[in-house]
Amino acid sequence: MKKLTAIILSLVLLCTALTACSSRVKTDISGAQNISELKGAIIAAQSDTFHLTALDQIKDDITIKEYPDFTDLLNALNSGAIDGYVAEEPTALTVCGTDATLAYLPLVNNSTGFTATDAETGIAVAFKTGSEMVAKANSVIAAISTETRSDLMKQIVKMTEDITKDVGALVLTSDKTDTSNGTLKIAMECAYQPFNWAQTTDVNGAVAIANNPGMFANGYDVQVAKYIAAELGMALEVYQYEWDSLIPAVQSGAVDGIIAGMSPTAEREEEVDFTECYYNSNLVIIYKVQK
Amino acid sequence: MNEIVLEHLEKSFGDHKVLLDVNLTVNKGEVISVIGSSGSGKSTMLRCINLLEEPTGGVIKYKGDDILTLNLSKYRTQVGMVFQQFNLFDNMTALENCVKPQVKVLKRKRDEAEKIAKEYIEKVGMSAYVNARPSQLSGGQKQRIAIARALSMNPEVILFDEPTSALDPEMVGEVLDVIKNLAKSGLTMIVVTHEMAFAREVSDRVIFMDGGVVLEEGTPEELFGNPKMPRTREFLSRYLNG
Amino acid sequence: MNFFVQVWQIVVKYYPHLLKGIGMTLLISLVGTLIGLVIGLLTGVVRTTPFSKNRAVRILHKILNGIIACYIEIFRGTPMMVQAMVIYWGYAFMNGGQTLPLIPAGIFIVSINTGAYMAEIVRGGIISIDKGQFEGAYSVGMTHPQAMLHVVIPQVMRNILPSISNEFVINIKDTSVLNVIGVAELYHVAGTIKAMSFQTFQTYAVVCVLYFIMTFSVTRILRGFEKKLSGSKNYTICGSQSDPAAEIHVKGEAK
Repeated sequence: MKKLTAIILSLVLLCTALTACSSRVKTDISGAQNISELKGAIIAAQSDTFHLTALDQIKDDITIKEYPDFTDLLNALNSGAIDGYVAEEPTALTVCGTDATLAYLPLVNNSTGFTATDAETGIAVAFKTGSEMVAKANSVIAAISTETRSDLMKQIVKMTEDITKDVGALVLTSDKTDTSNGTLKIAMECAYQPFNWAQTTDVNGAVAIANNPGMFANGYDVQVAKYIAAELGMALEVYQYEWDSLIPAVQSGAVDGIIAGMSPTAEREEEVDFTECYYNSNLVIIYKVQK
Repeated sequence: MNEIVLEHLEKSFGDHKVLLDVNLTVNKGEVISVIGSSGSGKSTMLRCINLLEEPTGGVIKYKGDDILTLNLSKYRTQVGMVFQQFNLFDNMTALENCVKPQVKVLKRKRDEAEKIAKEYIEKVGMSAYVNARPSQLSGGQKQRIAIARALSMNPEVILFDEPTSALDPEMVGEVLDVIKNLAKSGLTMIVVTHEMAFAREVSDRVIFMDGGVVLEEGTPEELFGNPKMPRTREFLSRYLNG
Repeated sequence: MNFFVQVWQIVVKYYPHLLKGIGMTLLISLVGTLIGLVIGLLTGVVRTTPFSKNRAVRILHKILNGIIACYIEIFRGTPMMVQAMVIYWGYAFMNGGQTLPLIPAGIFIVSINTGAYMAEIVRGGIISIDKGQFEGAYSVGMTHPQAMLHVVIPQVMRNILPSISNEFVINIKDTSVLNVIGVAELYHVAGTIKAMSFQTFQTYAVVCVLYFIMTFSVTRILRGFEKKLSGSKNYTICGSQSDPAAEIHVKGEAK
């Protein structure tokens, strides 16, 4: 019994020692108006995104960390491992809306230091290279006004406060019910609020996920997908795939297109064809409010 | 009638010749003991008869036919074998050991097979252990069940490969008693053994093997009482005095 | 304390999904382990069968052995996650976008992967059975297949049961890699819940406990089964051996 107590005690001591070692001085970045004011902070971004490239512009002043999964960033922030992370404004609205201890700095293009092109902050629909669907989808996307886009995003962000609650009629709905032009199969992660997520009911016009029975997809991407399919006279099927499987899914023909908050970067352009952007957003940095 | 005939039987493992030229005729109902020192080829000869080892030369005939031309499975049901290490099926009870081969090989009905098996198990005095597993039995008990298993197939010949060599001394008797009783029943038997007294008592004929050949054969009285070859005398004196 | 409240809320809110995920994980790992065992038994039997004297059969047997050896090396030597991606998307690319149905695809991947490990386990099991067991079977006229089926395989099964249960437990955990092709097993469910609730750590804490409960119960159940199979060391005689007329009652014996 004495031995056991000794072992437990030493373990506790060890843990305390380790926590002491790892706890770091956090940098308060609240109220920053310009990226130069982030000096000394640890800022993270998701791997393989232009968010990370954008951070490169200020790499001399801050410590950059990268995480493979977008939800890991939030986790890292909550655990205190980082001072803030790069996201897009709609995401920031969602995240800060569900957690009052979080806020974001609207470090929009150029005026505050970040330089990002429209192609980087915009998100577009991807189809198989050479697909005639690009032109068809473009005609639908072009008809969605900037106001509608921003109003729809506001409604979607409202939805994310409680995804089980009905927010009423959406601003972007098609009155076409004809589906004689076949099926439009669309892939997305269903894990990137507010663009796309999975929920358990079909409230707010969510679409059943074809390869995950019992689950429904909703979000900005889903509503755009619904609208494009309906306007083209097609039935919509939503498929849930990991981020890395999205492009193979289109290339192999398992799905027709990707609507997953994906930016039309030059690298991706070599693998698939993109439509015009269906949403443009600003970069922001999400941080934890210091007490 | 000649039950088993060995003609110029040879067996070698690679370069090592174990059987050089074995000739032997076994008549129906005869009980033959095979004696000889270790490495003389007794066991190999027995295993060749049951085709557990394939001869590299010569012919083995069973009722006049070359055994290589016979259906192996059917031939083995007629020529049973009892091993030094018992080789009971470890996954079955004593009863099942005797029943399963009958059902699977002889295609007997289960009821019939059980009846036959119990009969032989009783004959070897193991009735109380029908449901015991091999791991729960002593060596002597296992060997008696192994004999019952061989008998359940209703063979015409049984080959005993040193059936008591792996047993503790106090268990040798119970097994030899069973074999003695069988000898009286008219079954053809070839027994490889180191138990000279037993060989002398039950055998119709005794074979002395040495260096891969049958060196001498005769009735027990002849072989034990008046061995002709010097090697036989040497072997017997070592055994009987040692 | 807040942490535990959040964990509890995840359980309450998402238990139907968690249950579904557990069901899928158990289904795929159980069926995968069983099919893997069958693959292991078949390949093990083929590889331990002595070569035939017939030349054509012998050559065929050797080719088959070669194929089995390649199969084992390839599937043991590559990660299951990579296999899942290659098989699932390879099939889709070769068939013009026709994807494999997810659950059968998941079972297939786990099965062939387990099969590669089981092949070696079973082969080892067969080799470790005393040669005398075969000889005993041959001596009563059994053929090699009969000896395998009735005598050797039952003993092999008992001997390798700990390894089978080990593979099963590994599969329960490793099924999580099927997440990459979108099979809705427990880990995939965790990912979905995490994206819905934004509570990564709390979600994985729940899932961690669930995985442990699954593996622990499976280990216990199979341990009990193992004990039952090996039976008691002692045998109780109830009856008389010396008097043949006496009624002999042996436990479990049908009259």
